[in-house]
Amino acid sequence: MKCDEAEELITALVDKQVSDQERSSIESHLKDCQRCQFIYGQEQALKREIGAAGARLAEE
Amino acid sequence: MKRALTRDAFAREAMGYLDHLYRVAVHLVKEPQEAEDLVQETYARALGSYEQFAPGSNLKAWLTRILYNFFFDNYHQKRRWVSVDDSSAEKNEPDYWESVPAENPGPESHILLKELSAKISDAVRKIPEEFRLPITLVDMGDFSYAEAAEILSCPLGTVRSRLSRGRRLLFNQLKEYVAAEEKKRAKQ
Repeated sequence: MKCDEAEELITALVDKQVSDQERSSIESHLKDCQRCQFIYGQEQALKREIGAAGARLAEE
Repeated sequence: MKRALTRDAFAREAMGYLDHLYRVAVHLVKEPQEAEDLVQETYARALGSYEQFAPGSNLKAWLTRILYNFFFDNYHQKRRWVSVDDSSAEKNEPDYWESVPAENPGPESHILLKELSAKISDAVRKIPEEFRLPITLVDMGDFSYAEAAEILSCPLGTVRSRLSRGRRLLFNQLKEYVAAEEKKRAKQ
């Protein structure tokens, strides 16, 4: 799998919206690709912060 | 087949989703008062057509679809789902994944969480709507891709691809803040 093909699957993995086959495929790519590991970590962090911001704004 | 809810039972059940609707609305419109109005109108419309709700189906998604339609009808004059010129979206998107520094400088330490929330919310509102709506539904509304696709009347694959690109656009604007918050989180 090429990195540009992996990006949408990284998004879906962050959202836990991948099929078993897709999970296996993207996890295999992540094992060997530091760049995509980095993107995966950043996207997880971004999602966490967006969700937290949404919750804080709703509480105000 | 489940029995239809009474109006009162429906009203009670729908009331449980008002916080959720507000969380979505607050990222669609600019002012908190507008978000409250949007939620209030959604609730009123839902009550007005509660008999159309199929008992046992997804009330959260049904309500959010009403909110979304009302938003488009009243706050927005565009069609429900406009096609995006992908090439033009890409033009505005620098090659940010390559530009992410190994170590982000981080914001001033005194930035309050409230300001951070406002910053994130502003950034979400500034990205093109095609990307903003899936992010609002999935990241703020906790919807699955299938639910978001149903609400937005678009294919599931479109939700996935626009989320991916929308997050990349957002990350480009917010990377310093996200990195700083993650550092704080790691220390806690």
